[in-house]
Parts: sequence; structure tokens; C-alpha cells
Amino acid sequence: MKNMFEGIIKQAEQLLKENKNNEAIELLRCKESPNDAVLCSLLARAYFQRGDSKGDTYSAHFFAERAVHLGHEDNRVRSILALTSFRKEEYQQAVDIFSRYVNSSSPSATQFMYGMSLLYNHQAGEAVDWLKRAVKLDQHNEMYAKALKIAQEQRENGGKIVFAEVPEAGAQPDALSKKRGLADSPQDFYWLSKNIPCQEACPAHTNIPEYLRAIYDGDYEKAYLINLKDNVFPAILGRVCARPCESECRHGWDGLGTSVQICFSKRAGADLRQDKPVILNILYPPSGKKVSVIGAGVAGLTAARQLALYGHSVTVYEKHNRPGGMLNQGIPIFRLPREIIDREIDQIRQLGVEIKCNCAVGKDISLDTLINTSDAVVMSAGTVRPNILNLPGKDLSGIRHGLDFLLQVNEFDAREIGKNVVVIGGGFTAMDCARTAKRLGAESVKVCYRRSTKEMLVTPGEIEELEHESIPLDLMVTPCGYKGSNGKVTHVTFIKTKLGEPDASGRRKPVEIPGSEYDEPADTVLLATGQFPDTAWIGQSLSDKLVDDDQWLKSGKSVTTQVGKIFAAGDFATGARSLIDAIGHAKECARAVDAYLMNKKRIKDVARIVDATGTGRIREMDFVDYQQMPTIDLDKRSLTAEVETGFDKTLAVDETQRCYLCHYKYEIDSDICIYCDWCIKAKPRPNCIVKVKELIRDEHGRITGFVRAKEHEDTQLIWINQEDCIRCNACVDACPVDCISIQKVSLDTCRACDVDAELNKD
Amino acid sequence: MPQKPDLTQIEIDKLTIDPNIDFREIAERPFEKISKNELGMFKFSGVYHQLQTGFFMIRLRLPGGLMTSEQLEKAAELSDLYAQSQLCITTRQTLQYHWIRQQDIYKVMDAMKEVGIITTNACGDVTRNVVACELQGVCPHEVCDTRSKLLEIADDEELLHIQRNLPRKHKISVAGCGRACGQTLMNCQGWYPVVRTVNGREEIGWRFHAGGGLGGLPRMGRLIFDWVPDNLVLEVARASTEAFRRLGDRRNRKYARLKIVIDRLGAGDYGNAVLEIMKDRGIKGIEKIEKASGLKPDVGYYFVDGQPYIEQKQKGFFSVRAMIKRSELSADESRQFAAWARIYGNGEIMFTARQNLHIRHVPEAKVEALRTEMKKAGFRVDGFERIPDAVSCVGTTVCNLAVSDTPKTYHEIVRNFADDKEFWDKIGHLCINMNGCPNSCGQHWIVDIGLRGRRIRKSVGSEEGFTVHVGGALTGEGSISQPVFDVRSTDVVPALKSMLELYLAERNANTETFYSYVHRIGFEELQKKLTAIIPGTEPVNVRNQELKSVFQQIVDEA
Repeated sequence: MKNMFEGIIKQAEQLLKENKNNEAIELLRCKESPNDAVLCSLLARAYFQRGDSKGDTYSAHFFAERAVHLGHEDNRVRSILALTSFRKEEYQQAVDIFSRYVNSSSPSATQFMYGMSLLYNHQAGEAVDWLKRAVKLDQHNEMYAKALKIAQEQRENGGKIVFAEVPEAGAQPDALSKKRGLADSPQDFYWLSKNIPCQEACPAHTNIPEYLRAIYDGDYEKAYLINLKDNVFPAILGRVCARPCESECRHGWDGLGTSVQICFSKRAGADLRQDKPVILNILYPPSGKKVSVIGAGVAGLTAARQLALYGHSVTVYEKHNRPGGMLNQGIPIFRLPREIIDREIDQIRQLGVEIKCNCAVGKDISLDTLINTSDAVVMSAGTVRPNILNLPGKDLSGIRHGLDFLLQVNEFDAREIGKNVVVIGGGFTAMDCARTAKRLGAESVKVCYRRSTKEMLVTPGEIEELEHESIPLDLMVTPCGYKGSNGKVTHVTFIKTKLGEPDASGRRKPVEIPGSEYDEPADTVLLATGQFPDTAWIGQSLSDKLVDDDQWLKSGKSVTTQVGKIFAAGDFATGARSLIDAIGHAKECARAVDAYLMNKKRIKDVARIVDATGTGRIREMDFVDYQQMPTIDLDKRSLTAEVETGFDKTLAVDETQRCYLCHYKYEIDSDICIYCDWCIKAKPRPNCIVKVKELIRDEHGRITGFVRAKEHEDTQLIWINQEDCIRCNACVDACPVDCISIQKVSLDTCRACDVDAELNKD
Repeated sequence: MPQKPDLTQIEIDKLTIDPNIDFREIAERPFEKISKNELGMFKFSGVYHQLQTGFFMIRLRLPGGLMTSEQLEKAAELSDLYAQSQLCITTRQTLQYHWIRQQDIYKVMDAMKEVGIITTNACGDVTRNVVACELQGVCPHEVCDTRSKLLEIADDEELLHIQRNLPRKHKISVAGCGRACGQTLMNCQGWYPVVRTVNGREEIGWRFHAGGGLGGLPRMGRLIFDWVPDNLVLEVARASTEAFRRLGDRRNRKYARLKIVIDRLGAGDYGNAVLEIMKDRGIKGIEKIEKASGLKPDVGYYFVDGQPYIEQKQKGFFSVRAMIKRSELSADESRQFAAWARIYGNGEIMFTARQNLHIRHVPEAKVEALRTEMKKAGFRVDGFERIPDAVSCVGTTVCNLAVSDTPKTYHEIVRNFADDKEFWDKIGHLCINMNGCPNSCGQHWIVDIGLRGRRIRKSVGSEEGFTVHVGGALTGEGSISQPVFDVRSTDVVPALKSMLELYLAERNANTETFYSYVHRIGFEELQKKLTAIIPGTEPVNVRNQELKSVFQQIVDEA
């Protein structure tokens, strides 16, 4: 009798031929309840061919059995039934079914599997015959040969059948070298650097997630203390930091929204706490060593503070009448109120650091004298040699360097400004010059820069503020000369540019477009075109050893120099960089000085691993938008009125809850995990928990990536991918066997003796 | 301000999708047009989407596990038509179909309704099928007519049709006496009747336990009220359900069940909350309810323990037991049992929590004839509550959650142990239950040996296996089984054999049960002893991976 489903059967067969198994199942399922023998046989085949999920083997076996039961038993159904029986380890059934259709002229693979079924059914003697024939038919097949060998051995000696032996799984692949406590292996530091991108990006390695959480919890004192310890000037940096951390923040990665406003939050931590000064604990008792620091800018003060904490006696020599360097001289008051600077410098003084102002080294006191009277000297004199563009007309009056302009305004109350001001440059100084000039009453202020906004080295939000204050920004133009009359500048000649290949800094180089010159009217030109270290004050005898022909230090960016007891910190060594760069460099310098003075490393970095029960984060926090910094109205803006007013408590909570708290490590103990996938079902993000076939490690054994598993059997691990984890605890809540641990992992800087004692204790 | 967690998706679904799904409309809709959320809400009508896309499981609502021959025949007929001629007995005393297509769901539901069986609330965040002890109505120890009390609760309008948005599933048991057969301690609400004499007059009241539950976080029920007057049982059941509705955590499903509410509040405060609701509802006679005031549950030992048939309280009649292999009944077998129930008994079939069945009201003279027939038809009629009487969930065969193939392991265990009557007789009471995932459909937490599915990491991939738990029971205050070792699926039989041989060698006299032995020596000690003796074999996952290329070739060659 013709099958009433002939049409469906034909279609299904075609789909199966094309390996479109899901479509075949759908078709066979849809038309009629699959109670027909042929439909069942086709369903068996579809599930068998699909075979990539749990249940497929069962379904194939089930429908093959149904097909046989309903009267359809061809060799294909038999083969499916036999193979699924074998997979289900029902070897007797596999043997029974193979025996119904396999004979000595069957193809090699079929004879091989019949042999395998016999072998696993403890019928090695009979297995050998079938396997021999399979080998004969396909002499190059190693699998057949191996099976034959096993069967022959089994027949001769009995014993265990092991077709595919693999070693037992090794130890649980931990992310860190230790379960808890202090750890200092490369694996631990690698984890920290890879998984806490903001902290890694901060030159001072500030424990950012921890202080953001403290702010969220309303513990502003803790937040301030963390910052103070790590970056020395929390309230100052909370206003003017270059924020390298924010560009690395995971919240700003593709598809994840906008970076957390780390800097503004830091400021909230400082603003919302009490005004009482915080004096850090001295780490080591007085060493009796004396250190002189040249320059009381951020680098000098940072080095001085660190050295004081290490127990040394420190004197800072500053040529200006007050300490702070660029903080006072370069940054306008409307961005950084001076009492903030004074307060944080005072905290350094209270640690015993002596700051001698109005004392220029090389003039009021010689470097030689300092060397002779100190055990070490740190040169941190900043970058005060302006980069004057060597263009036609550069000597016309009205052209001056921006740093000098800011110094005069900020330190000496100068108030003169022209009508038409052109600021040349695209960095922090350019922004400050333009906004200061505007406040001084210039009718027209314009910033001209040779690249695009993308290449500008400014703090996020500064370009917006420029626009807000109606200061135009001309991009892709570079000056090529000045014009003037009566010795005074009247115009700047610009030429238009286009972006070329990246230069050494990684930024795309501006290429001039011939014939595109034009004149821009100007009676004041402020050059914000960079500055270099001034080494002229170093006496001749030392200059030969320390300074190169180009007036830069011979030691480059290093914290040490050619002279053992002389060290260099901050911009003076590295060239003009950001405040936080200078702080990071100065901290490194202080450690080198301490090691030199004490003849050993007394300060160590460690990973501190502490058990935690949760983070308090929930998925909904990811969808909170970033908070805008409140500012004062335009009509209230002056040279001294601070523009940004800071987050209040509500805004601080709103912003800090966005932090992913990357310093929390969620890890599955694969020895306890039962692979139930409940965490995978609960996961909020596509890649936060993954089924892994294999972890990829580098030559040091550190986990650098993973290979996804395709099916259950090749899943070696269920693995939490820290990069995508949002610390929401959903997996922990879902896990039925409590195999997910949560730990806080922090980079800590401690006394080496304490670290060694704890590590030895372990 | 700090963000608050949103409602979980299922809570939103419960508010936005009518649980009374129109399955005639569903039958017309292409599968891909059914949303995941709707699929979730199918459960409230007893319908689950099974592992195989487009196929469904339908669970019946069968209060107390009692069915008539007529009903079973209808179920068999429908399974022939729509469910590959298969029926499955569940651990909550009901039947379920697998392999139902979406086009056929309403057909099964309508046809079952015709014989008085609905599927409403068989699954979902509702009061589920109310269970009883397997001898309810016939047990010589039954204190009173508990069947009518069970039906009063099961068919209550408020519990069945109004309370359909609970924070999580809610399970009720009504036992016939204070023994463990009714699984009092593992249900959200556990009831059993007690008798006391006041002024020389016998009074019947009920003990009310709450907060039991298995799943991933097993808890034993606590005694809430030591005495509930018979006429207030339904009111307490309603108020307790309402208290759960109000107090359950809807933001986190793992912590949503009543057991967690009671964990949080304590039994005393929970009891107060229930009484407060009753007071608000104006229920009279609340003062007669006696709070447990720190009393602990004290459930007696199982009455049903190994007997192949049990003399009923109705003199001269017996309840005759049949063991159903892996809970699976074919349509033909179902029809056979329906016929036997009619011929030998009163036409009633009772399904049990161990996924077996009883034919009730068999006159003494016919007991042996019925047992002979059943034996001849291939059913086991002995070995109850012994090794052959294992229980398993459906495992990876059709369940989305499972990681291990429990039916296969079940068959392995039965194949290897069931015929060795001398061995399992020597061991005595020993219930083995298996569960393919961390949930507890197979109830592995409450038996002597419980296997819970897991995968075991290998150097290449991972292999299917189990965590073996021991020492669970529903007697006394209840005891949750504890894990003692992990084992690959392939090694379950030799591992169990080794453990049981150890038990036989070390037990005190011949009377110490496995449960007592385990608790005497302690889990840790047992763990240590077992580590040394559990065997290991070849990882099957790796072998199957190596052979994979050959498999398709063979089908093509055929």
C-alpha cells in the first residue's frame, strides 16, 4: 500500500540528504502525529544526523525502535538502532541488531562497528574476525588496526578494554596562584592587570573599583584614604586628572555604554568627606637618611611624601614662593581652587616633609651642595622651557607662550589681554589659555589645532566646555608664519592640513595642504605647543654626566641617572605629561631611592585575595546612564569661580553603582561544578559564562583565552569569563551546588617584611 | 539612587500572559510564533516543552494519585494517538505524556476532561497535584477519611482557580496518619490527622507542617500547628497559601519557595502570619488552633515497606502492588491494568510516589491470581522498597534540565541487582532514587541512596556521571541525604555494589538498616572508606568522540 505521507517522506529525505535535520524534524512533526513507521524511521535518522545535543541519541534510538515496532525495519533503521545502542552502552542490543544485517561482504566501517560492539559485549573472540575483515578492507585505517589489536589482546589475556585512554583531568585551573591571602606570582599580577583595566591604566595604580564601591556605600573617608595612599592628591586629581583610567573602563567598551566617571566620583569622595586632614601612617621608623628633592610640583611632592612614609628625612627646594608647581602656575583657579591645593600639600608637610620655597637650586643653593649634604637627591624640576615655534615673524610682540601667560595670570594677577586672541595647540594648556583669555575680556578667542579632536590631549568634557563658553575650535590647521605692523602681531598665517600616517606618539601626523594658506587676525597669540625640561641650572661638573647635548637628561625616562645618588622624577625625566603620569613616575622613583638608601627592596606589590559573599551589584545597574557633572551658569563664570560644582551624594551613588567592580573575581570550582548549565541559563550577558573545550594559556601558564565547546561531551569546563562578567551574582544565586566562589583581589603595596612573613607563613 | 532588581521575566509573564492558554489557537500557530514566555506559561496548564523542539509533555492533575479504569483506558487511547503509545508515572502520583505535538495538546486535554481529569495547575507557580499516601482510603492505619479532606483541598476554588500567581510552585500532601508514607516533610504543606481524647471523647484534628521542599535547596518541613480542628484544615491551607503569596521572594526564583520564607521567618512567625490572615478573613474558631511552640516534627516509620500486597481496612480486601519499570507504561499495559482493576478490584488504580501502582479492593481469594497474571505479563510483584524498586526521573532523554541519563542508569541498576534476590533481601529496606539535574523530580534527597546527575571533568571534555548521596529519610524530623562520592555513569553499578558490600560487612547484626548504618558511622567516615574502593573505567565520552567519524559512515553504508 502506498504510504499516505509519500509527499512528506520525499521532502524529508531530501532535507536529510542536505543535512537539514532541524527542518526535517519540523516537517515530520508538523503534518501528522508521527505514528507512522516510515515517519518514525526518518525522525530517527534526523535526530541521529543532528546528534549535537543531549537527548539526540535517545530520540534517534526511540524513534528507530518505534519504526521497528510499527513494522519498518530496513538496514538504515537497524544501523541507527545499533549505533545508538552502542552509544548508550547497550552492547548486547547493538550486537543483536548488527547481527541481523551485517555480513562478511558488508563495508569496512559497518564490520568494524559490529566488531566493536562484540568487543565491548565481552565477545572478543568473535570481534577479532569482524575487525580483521575491516582492517583487510581498509588497511590504512589506524582506528581499525588499534581495535583489532585490543580485541586480540582481550581474546588472549582478558582484562580491561580501553579504546581511548585519556589521563585524568589535572588540578582545577585556578585563575590565581593561591586560594586566599597574599600572592605574588606573575600569574597573580597578570590577572590584576588583565581584569582591572582602570587600575592598570592608572599610572599610580589606584585601586579604583574599591574606592568607587566605598563612595557607593557612602564611606567617603575610605574612598579618600584609598586615593590618598595611591595617588597623593585625591581632591586635586578629582578635578584635573587626565583620566587614563576612564578610557580603559570596561563600561566604555564596545556595546557596553559609557565609561564610569571615575574622576568625578573621586572628587565626590573628597568633597563629601570631612575637612580634617588625613595623615598616613609612616611605614618604617626613621632611617636617618636625608633626601633633597628639587621642585615642589606634583612629582617632587609625591616623591617627598613617599620617602617620608618610608622613614627618610626629606627637604623639598622650590624656586617659586609656594609649592604646587604646575598646579598653581598652569591650572586656572576656575578649574582648581587654590585652597584644595594647599590642603593636600599640607597633608604632606604634616608627615614631616620640609618645603623650602623661594630657593632656586643652581642659584640660591648649588646642586653640589645638595649632593654633599644629602644621602640622595631627586630632580623633579618639571618642564618649564617653552617650545617656541620657529616661524617667520616669531619675534613680533603679542606672541607669547601659554605657560608664561597662565603663570602671570595665576601667580602674579596679570590681567592684560588683547582683543583677538589666537591659541595654538590642542592640549590642556591650550584649553586653559583660551578659557582664561575669555574670562580676561578678550573679544574673540579661538583655538587652532593641526589635527582633529580625536588626537587632542584634553580631559573629557573640556571641548564641550569650550563650546559652552563660545570659544571656537579650528581644526586641521597649522601656523606657518606671523604677520604684523609696528612690531606687533596682527595676523597668524595658517595652512590647512590633512591627517597622514601615525607618528611616533601613535597619533596621525598632520600633512600640510599646499595652497591652502589663510590669515587669521590676532593681536595676541598664545602658544600652547609644549614645553621641555630646563636643565640649565645643573652645574657644569654634573651637567656633563647627566645632561645630553639637547638639554634632556642622558638617563631618558628612567628614575635613576648616571650618578648613583641622583634620581629623576616626573616631567623632568619623561617630558611634559599628565599629573597622574608624574605621580606614577615619582612613586616609582621613591621606591628606587629607598632601595638605594637601604640597600634592599623594602616595598613590595602583592595581590591580596579575600573571600567575599557578594558585591551588591545587580544587572539593572548596568542600564544607569552616566551622570553629568553639574556646572555653574555662564554668567557666573569668572577667573576664580569654580565651574564644576561636583557630585552630590545622590549623583555619586548613581554614578558609582555603574562600576562593574572588576576587582571581584567570580570563579567556578570545576571539581564541584556538575555542568548543569543553570548559571548559563541565568547569565545576563552572552559571554560572561561560557562552555569551554579548552583554556588557552601562554608560555607562563597564564590563562589568555578559551576555545568554546560545541557539545556536552567536549565541554571540559563551565568558565566565568571575567571580561564579560558584570559581578551581578546571578550565577551564584542560580548555582545549585555552590561551586562559584567570589573573591576580592586587590593590588596592594606593602612592607616587604610583612609580605615575606605572610608568604612564608603559608 | 541604588537600582532595585526588576521583576524576573517569569513574574512579568505571569502578570501579562493569561495562564488559561487557548491550545486550539496554539494548534494553529507555527511553532516559531510561540514566544519563549508563552511556552513558560504553558506550564500552568500542565504542559511543558520537552527537550526535543516542538514536542511537549502533558502532565495530568490526579489528586491523591487515584484513577479509575475508564480514565486509564482513555489515557492509554490518547497515548496511542498522540504520545507514541507511552505513559509515565510521576513521583507526585500522576501520569504524564511525552512527544505530544502542539497541534495535539488540546485534543489530549479535551479528551481527558471528558473523563473528569484536568491538567490545570499540574505545573507552574500554583498549588500542584495534591498527594497522599498510596494506601489512602484503604490503609488499616488511616485515622479517618482523609481522601475527602484531600479532595476538599485539591478541588478548592481558591487554591485551584484563584491563587494562580504564587511566587513559586506550592505542594501539598495529605497523609492518612503520622507515618512517613505520605511524604509529609517534603511538601510545602504537610498534613496528617491525629486523634486525642478530651474529656473521655475522641477528637480528630490535624498536624500542620510547612516549609518542606526539595529542588536544589532541600528543606524538611517544620511543625507549624500541633492541632488544627478538622473543620479549619481548608482555611489553614488557604491562609498558608495566601501567606506564601504575600511573603515569597518574587525577585529571585531560587529563593522564592515557601521553605525559604519559613527559613527566614521561623516556624513560629510563619504560623502567626497564617493566623493573622485567618483573623483578617474573619474565620471563626482560630483560638482552637494550637501552635507547635517549638515542637519538632515526629513522623513515624513507613508502613508500606516491602509488602507485595497489603490487607486493607476493608476486611477481606487487599491492595495489590505492581512495580512499573522506570515508571513507563505502554498504552497496552495501561489497558491491561485497567482491565485487571475492573476484573480483580473495584476499578481503581492508585499511582505511587515510587512510580508504581496498586490495584485496590482485590478480594483475598483473587490476590494470587492477579499477581500471577501481572508476573506473567512481565511486571515485578516483589522487591518493593528494596533495590529493584528504584526511581528515576526522565533525565537527558526528554528533559531540558538534566545532565545525566537517569533512565539508563536505572536500567543498569535493575539489570544488575534485581535478579539477585538473595543480595537485596539481605540488605532489606533500601530505596534508590535518581535525578538527572540538581532539581529533585527523582527525589534523591529523601532516600537511602540518591544519585544526582553531574558531569565529571576529564583532561579531554567531560563525562556524564552522578554524585551519590546517602542517608535521606522522611521519618522523625526528616533527614536530607548527603553526598559521599562522585562516579561516572559507567561505574555506578560497581560503585554501588562496593558500597553495599561494605555496608553488609560492617553493619551491626543483621538488623541495622543502611540508613542507620550511614548515620552511625557518619558521612565523612563513609566517604573516606569509599574513596579507596570505588572503581573506575574508560571515559565513554572520549571513545564516542573518537568513533564519531565512523558513525555516520555506517548509516550511509546501510
